[in-house]
Amino acid sequence: MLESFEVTKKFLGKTAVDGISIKLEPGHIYAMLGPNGSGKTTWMKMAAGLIKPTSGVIKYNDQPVGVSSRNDIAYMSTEPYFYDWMTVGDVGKYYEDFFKDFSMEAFDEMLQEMDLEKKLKCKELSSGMLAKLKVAVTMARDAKVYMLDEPLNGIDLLARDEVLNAIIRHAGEDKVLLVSSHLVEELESVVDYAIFINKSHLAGVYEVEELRQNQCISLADKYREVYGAAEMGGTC
Amino acid sequence: MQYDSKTPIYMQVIDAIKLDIINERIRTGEKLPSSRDLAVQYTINPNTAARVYQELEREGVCYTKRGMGTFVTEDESKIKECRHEMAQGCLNDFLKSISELGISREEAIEMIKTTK
Amino acid sequence: MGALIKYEFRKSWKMKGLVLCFTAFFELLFLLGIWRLNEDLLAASCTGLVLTTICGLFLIGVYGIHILSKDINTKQSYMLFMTPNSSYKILGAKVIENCGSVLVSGVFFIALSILDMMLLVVRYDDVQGLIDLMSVAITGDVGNFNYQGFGMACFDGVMGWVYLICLGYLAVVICATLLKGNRFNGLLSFVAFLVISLVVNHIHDAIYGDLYIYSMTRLISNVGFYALLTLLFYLITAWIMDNKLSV
Repeated sequence: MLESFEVTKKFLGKTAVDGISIKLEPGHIYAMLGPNGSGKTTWMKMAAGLIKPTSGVIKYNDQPVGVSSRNDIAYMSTEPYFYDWMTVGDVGKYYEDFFKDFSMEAFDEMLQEMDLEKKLKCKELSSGMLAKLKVAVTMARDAKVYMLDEPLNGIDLLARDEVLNAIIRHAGEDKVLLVSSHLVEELESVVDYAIFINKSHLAGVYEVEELRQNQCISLADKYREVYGAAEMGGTC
Repeated sequence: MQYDSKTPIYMQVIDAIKLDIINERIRTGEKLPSSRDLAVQYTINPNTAARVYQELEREGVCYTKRGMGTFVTEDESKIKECRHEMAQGCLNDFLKSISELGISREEAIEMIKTTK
Repeated sequence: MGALIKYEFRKSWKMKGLVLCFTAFFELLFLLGIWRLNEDLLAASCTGLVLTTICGLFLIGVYGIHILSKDINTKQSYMLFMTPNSSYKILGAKVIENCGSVLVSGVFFIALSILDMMLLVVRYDDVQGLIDLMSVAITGDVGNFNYQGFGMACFDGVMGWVYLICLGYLAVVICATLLKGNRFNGLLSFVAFLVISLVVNHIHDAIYGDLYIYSMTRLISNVGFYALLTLLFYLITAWIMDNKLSV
């Protein structure tokens, strides 16, 4: 379980994340939604133990996140980060060298599904292929928590489906999945809950099916309501 | 699959599966995909997929054999019942829309007869 | 830790291979010169070897600092910091790999030069004059020269360079953390580098005196001094990375 207690992060006087408290439980897929620059990435990086909060704490299984929680929490950043000299195969090898929970078979399988060849150089991959590779290598880990930052950013429809499939396939009862996006619709059918972040604050946590069942509105409608201040009352 | 924004996603998937059964794209007694595969097939949340099967089972459209998976019922009358229910649903929607347009039932029946 | 060191080497082996190729080339020329007793060839190859040694050690060190800068300032920083390794281990792997490379290649060059000198002594009768000249240059006295002393003096130089590399690491990390967002962060961290190295020089001279006195104990304690500084700068740099670095 991943829990954030009143977490705040300031950079040179600018507050990127302001007092966010949330709790992510195993067995669910969460969407983290909000406009670009609202603080999603900063929160994820703190949860990944890459940066330290200015105040507050993020705990994984009741322990503050840090170096050792990186064994259980897999984080994928938006930007491609592989070394220039690496091939697709080298990327897998790298993960195998550093993560005990990485499975080369799972990686090979996903490469096949996504039509990626191990011999290809990372430098020569298209943005869609890079996005797929990042997801494949991250999801080939048998981690307890996966955090994918904007995995669907800048990729075409087919790559998008393949990425979503990989996410769905790896969700499990003992796993937490957190996927961020600044586009609501593309994640709506896949997630259980949506965490709205607005201007570095938490703007609400909503259950997708509950919204439809009880309020007769989609997540996208709710998003418009929260961010655009437009009333979106549905009629059941 | 495109989901409309007013009804729960699990209900829309249930309707899609029922339609497949009624049209015999899925035959009676046939094994259905695991809930994970169903989730992938419809790009939905795995918990939603599990709920789809729970509901279908509750309605008697499917049954689960332990360790074997989920199967479509062999009870033809159950499928007929489904068809009837769904047809009724379409009809209700139709009547609602047509009455919003200010067209009477009789006029509507006449229109159906003359529409090719 | 092993995996970290492996990938540090993977990032820099091309540069090291290049230095090795140059060394092999000049060494071959040197051997050819010895065999043919061709003085022109010997002079050219000796110059080549000395230059390769100095430039090689310089390049390997500077390239290591460049890699660290790339590893903390670009998106590639995730490659290191997403792994379950602390900043101490990540930087430690760099120090071990890069400073280790400098040390190993330094020792290699020292051994090679001693070997080449021995060869010269064997092949030429009148080379003793040359050795005496070197003896004056290094020890300030004729006849004081021996291979151990020469080796130690060179090793002292290499260690002095190793500590400077670690200071370079510190400067790069300060640039990326404490001075981040500052327009002149590159310049300021370079100034910091110069100031600290000057201060260290002063401390060194205060302890050892500013006159260069050649003695084995002096050299060994010198090496110890630099090793201690290397350790100190490593700890400070890793601490800053651990607490202030935003990946």
